[in-house]
Amino acid sequence: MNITETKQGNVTVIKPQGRLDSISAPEFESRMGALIDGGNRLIAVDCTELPYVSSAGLRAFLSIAKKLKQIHGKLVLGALTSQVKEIFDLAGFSSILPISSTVDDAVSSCSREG
Amino acid sequence: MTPSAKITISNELDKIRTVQDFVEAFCVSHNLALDLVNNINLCLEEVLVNVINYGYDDGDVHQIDIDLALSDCQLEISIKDDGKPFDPLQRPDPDLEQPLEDRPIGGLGIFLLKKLMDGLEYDRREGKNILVMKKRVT
Repeated sequence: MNITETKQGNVTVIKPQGRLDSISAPEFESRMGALIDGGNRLIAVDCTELPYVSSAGLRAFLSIAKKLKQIHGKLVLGALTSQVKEIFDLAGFSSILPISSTVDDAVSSCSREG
Repeated sequence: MTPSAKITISNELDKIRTVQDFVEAFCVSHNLALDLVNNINLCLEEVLVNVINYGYDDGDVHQIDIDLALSDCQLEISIKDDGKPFDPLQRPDPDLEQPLEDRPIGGLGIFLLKKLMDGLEYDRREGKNILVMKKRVT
């Protein structure tokens, strides 16, 4: 999995490219953990190139969101593919994680947090 | 004649992708929709991860057999392993109403499997777990 990282103001935008499955999820989670430990508290995830998220990927998102919540940070996901949206809906994640329809909306929703 | 296919893998996580590529090729050659293939492959990952991570205590190499059979209206996928007895259908569903901080980290894979498949059957025969997943294809 390729993960790119950019800054938009005080928001860190993460773009995972590829499948978030039992092989790639641990790497994704530790990469995000390192970002959070490095002081990135507001994180928007650009999901446009994420066609597949299994329960291992859901667990990674949940654990990242919990970690950020503890330090009053924020995780917002933007532009989910239809396949991934279906999985988030089924798992009840759409109601516990903030999701925006576009990446720009995810970034502004992230930065609105004080 | 019912189109069918079979693949056998060893109990290693990186073999899951091999199964998924195989299933995708089978489904595409029989004109099944890609959304459907994506969901079937997700279910395969959930089942195989459980078998590979929790099914064995001995550190030995084990074989897992995956059989596909396509009829007019459904795809039937059977997964057979010689790991510890484990009936995924007996696992309780997670509570989806819990807020973020109370959500347990595990238990979602089997729940997704139950939601995405149209039928699931578990049997333990001759020292093997046999899980049959059925998905309507019309």
